[in-house]
Amino acid sequence: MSQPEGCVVSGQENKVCKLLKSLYGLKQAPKQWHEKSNQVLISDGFSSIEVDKCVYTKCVNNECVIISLYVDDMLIFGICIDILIRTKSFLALKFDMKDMGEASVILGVKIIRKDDSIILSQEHYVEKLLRKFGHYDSKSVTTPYDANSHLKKNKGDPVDQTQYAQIIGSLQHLMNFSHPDIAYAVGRLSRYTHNRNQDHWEALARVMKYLRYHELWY
Amino acid sequence: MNYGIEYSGFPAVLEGYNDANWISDSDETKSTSGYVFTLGGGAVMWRSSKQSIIARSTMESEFIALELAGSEAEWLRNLLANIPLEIKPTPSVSMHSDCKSAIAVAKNKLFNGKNTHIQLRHNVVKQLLKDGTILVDYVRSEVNLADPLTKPLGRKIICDTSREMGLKATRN
Repeated sequence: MSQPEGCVVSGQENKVCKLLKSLYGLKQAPKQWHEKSNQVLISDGFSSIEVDKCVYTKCVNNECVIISLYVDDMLIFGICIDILIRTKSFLALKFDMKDMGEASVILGVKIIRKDDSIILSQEHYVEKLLRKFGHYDSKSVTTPYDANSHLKKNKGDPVDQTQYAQIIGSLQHLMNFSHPDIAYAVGRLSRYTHNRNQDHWEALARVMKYLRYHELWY
Repeated sequence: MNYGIEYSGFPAVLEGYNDANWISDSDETKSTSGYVFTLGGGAVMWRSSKQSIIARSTMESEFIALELAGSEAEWLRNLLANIPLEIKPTPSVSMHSDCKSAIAVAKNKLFNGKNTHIQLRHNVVKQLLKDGTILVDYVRSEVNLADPLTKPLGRKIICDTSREMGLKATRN
């Protein structure tokens, strides 16, 4: 254990700080956070379910609360309002927490409530994506992938690799959360991320144009 | 307007669709598996992935997809059983496949093939069927929601399957 380069205090070269609390960004921080949140929830009578450790449930007198946890984003479900309020005030005691009220956005997905249905939409994300990569004004197409484009491995030099990877990353996020319809196209195109050429670029542009098609509906 | 997945809450049963393509494109030697699970009128889980092993026939590739979707169905069913919801007890998840030969092989208790890697998957599916975790039945290709997750398709099918998966534009 030694002082980091550039921060050496002369005369006290052998002294180092002892870390009392794990900090944000530390390698051990995720584990520490999990242990803390887990312990707090269990102390309130919650138990995590067998198949997914991030889902906690608690039942009191046939009234149930479900908590789904994504790192530090939390959704609390329940039918009975009293027990929900009790849960929230308990958690507010233990954590520095912000109550966002009725959930409207979770992990970048908008939750829209209708009379008898719920819609999960990422429309704003699509718009941001199209604007960022300059496809907002392009013509639209009705299918995400052209059956006649026989994509092959690129034997030559890669073209504009960084941007391709960026778009693939954004599209994968979109596909995972709210767009099963582009799953095949995205899966297929991500096979060529390391070495792509003009053909792949065109196929990728087609996916963007397909997303534009749904934008145009309004 | 908002374009997104709409869940109306009906029908409140989990249904699975799975499909595979077998060498649809020139220099691909491996097939693609795809599956979709719907619950409450919208898709809740989907995947399109390149298979890890080479399938020798359409049946084999469809079978690999069935096994992949089957194990996912088992997890989803356990998840639903673990959450205190109104729907109980959880019935078997019906898996829709558009390949009659793969269904026949799945329902056959004996495995006649020679490939160990397919036999392994056969055992998994056999076990899932025996436990009552999944049921396998046949749907036509045109109404198989997992179809667009495995191959490029035309406008009409893309449109129809998207709607069935709950994807629609709704006015605010």
